[in-house]
Amino acid sequence: MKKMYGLIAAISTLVAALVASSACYLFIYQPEEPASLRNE
Amino acid sequence: METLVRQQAHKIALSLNYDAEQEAVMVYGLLAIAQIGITLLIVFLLGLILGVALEGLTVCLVGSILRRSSGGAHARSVGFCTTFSIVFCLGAGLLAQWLSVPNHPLVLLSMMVIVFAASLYFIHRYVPVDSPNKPITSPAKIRRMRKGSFITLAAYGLVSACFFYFGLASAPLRSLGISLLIGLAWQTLTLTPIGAILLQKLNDLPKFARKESKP
Repeated sequence: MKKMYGLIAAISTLVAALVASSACYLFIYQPEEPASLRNE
Repeated sequence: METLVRQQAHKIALSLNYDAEQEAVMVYGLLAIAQIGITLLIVFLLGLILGVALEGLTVCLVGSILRRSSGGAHARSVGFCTTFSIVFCLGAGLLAQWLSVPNHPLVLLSMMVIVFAASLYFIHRYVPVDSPNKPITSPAKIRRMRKGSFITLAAYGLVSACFFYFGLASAPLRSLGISLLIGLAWQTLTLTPIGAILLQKLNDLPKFARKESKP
């Protein structure tokens, strides 16, 4: 189970980094961006 | 959806001994995956039933890809955003299919010119449109976002011209071309102050309906 969680965490962190490089989320909802991803 | 994602992310973070910041990053990514996956899947499945799967996905993707660099007005909740995106993409798909039945090249060409001219103007005027949850202040990033938006618009122009040329003899291609124009027009509208007000009013609709239904 821990391996599965690790995989989910890795994929979601990768997607978060990809989304952070754009102007906003792909759709019309924008949650608060974590401080570590901010590149204002 | 957001509550569920946060609960699951918290469970995973506890199991992996993540700190609060690592958990927040995971929530941010998971929320993006859930929102994109659910929206595209439902638009595709309902689109298959309604016969507008490709048109719906075209509207969805055209708006989303430009939004990556242009930004735009935002909804206040993930639930409203997902529901609205699904209804809008399918509605726009149906409209595009209906408009593609008569073959009027001049009307289509006029639509293309108006939508692209308006997009060019509003992108030049407003991009990037940021939000309090993701402010953009760095001049380098602003330049990058503006350049990205113009490149995306140019790519849409090329694709749209192909749809127009080949669509002269094919209603399904005309329909996809019109879907592209509707997706672009909607995304352009969300860049403007009028689009932001419109989205805010739509956001308040569910609240208003709940208030009205109370005795």
